[in-house]
Amino acid sequence: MAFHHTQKAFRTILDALSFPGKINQLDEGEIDMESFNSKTALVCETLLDSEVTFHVIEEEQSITHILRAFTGSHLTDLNKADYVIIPQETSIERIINSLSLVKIGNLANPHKSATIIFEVDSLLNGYYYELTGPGIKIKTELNCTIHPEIIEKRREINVEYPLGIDFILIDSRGNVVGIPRTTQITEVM
Amino acid sequence: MSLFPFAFLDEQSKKEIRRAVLKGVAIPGYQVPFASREMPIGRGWGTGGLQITLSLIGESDVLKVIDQGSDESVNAVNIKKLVQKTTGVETTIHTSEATMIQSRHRIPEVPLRNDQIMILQVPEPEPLRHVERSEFKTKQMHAEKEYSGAYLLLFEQIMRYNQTSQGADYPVFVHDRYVMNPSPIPRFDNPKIHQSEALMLFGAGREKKIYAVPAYTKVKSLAFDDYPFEIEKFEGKFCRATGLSNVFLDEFTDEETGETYYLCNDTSYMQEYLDQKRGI
Repeated sequence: MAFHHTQKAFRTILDALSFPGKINQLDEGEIDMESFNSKTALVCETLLDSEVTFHVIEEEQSITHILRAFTGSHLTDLNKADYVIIPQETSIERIINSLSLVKIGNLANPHKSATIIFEVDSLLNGYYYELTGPGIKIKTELNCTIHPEIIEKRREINVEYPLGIDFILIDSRGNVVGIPRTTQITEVM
Repeated sequence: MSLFPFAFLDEQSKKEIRRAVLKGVAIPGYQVPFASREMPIGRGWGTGGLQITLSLIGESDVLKVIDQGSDESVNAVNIKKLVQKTTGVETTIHTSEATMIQSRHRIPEVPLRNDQIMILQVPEPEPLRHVERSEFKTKQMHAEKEYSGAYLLLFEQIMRYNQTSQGADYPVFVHDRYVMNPSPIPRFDNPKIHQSEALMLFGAGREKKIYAVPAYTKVKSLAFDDYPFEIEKFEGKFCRATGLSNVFLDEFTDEETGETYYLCNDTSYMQEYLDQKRGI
């Protein structure tokens, strides 16, 4: 049943965001959303509906049509979207430019901020980062292909806590990692 | 087939609650508004906690429900039955067996683990409500981190009684940012939230708020340098059944002798302790 599927996916996402840096595994998604990783599709199916808005960092129109059809969610401008989806092939420059535009909430309503669903190449190797913050016992490590410039951009955006953005990272193997705004990331050289 | 959807709530409602839970986790101690649903129990009887439980629970979960330390009180049993009948999940009274624990007014004595989720029922989520009646204004106070009112309440108690008189729902400071009501748990349980192994979720159904404290998060009970925070002390008192003194105790009066005695408030822990002692 589809609802058991999204229930399980939700618990995986919840676990990921509750324990930043922890590698969780998503099940195979049931809906095929073309260019999206099937796990990304599952995350969208789990979180999106007609009460929220989304934006995909991509020129193509087809994927937004599919997302709308499957979730009932509304496509909107980047600076208004509740969920911003970054497909895997997006260039670093494009990601950084896009992130500067997403909403970060306001002091009375810090929850009115964007959640970034970010397809990355790998969450098991690449750059080496150290994470600290709530949900992490002392510190933890994350090995991922996200470029340090993107991490730096995130830090700039999240500088005025509680304002900021939360990341759900998904790699091509279906690993998922949550990085809420409270997580401090430093690159380990 | 059951007349109700799996876990009672429709999928749309669950989705909205789930999104609020995720925001809560990302902003520890911040009260995320949500559209509280009508539940088959009265508002103020645990509907907030129940809605979180129903939105999270899956077929493989094992649920424990406690009301003021007891698994067997009417409220706990009714909530447990509702969830059980609409999901078919297993329930337990043993804290260590549960994957999800919904509770009113207590955090169990048995230490929680990071694969467990603690869900607390909240009657009044706003720690500043006694200072300011307007939700609009308290929201602004949180935005500005203006918490002198919260300290003032404690200060007034100290002026009057030479100690803080707030027994339950003693406010805490979460991740150095938000003052939060920990729900009406005794002060005794406040330190259990600090650097807890388990995620803690708080649901206020009537007030339509959800908030969270992730594991390993700094949670400090409000206090003053010269009047530090103290938990309830049971010096010289112990549980009549187990002899334990390092747990939260309930006071009873023996109706025949008029004598005062004490028992563990966490009844399942008391039972586990006795079973172990008897070698069961």
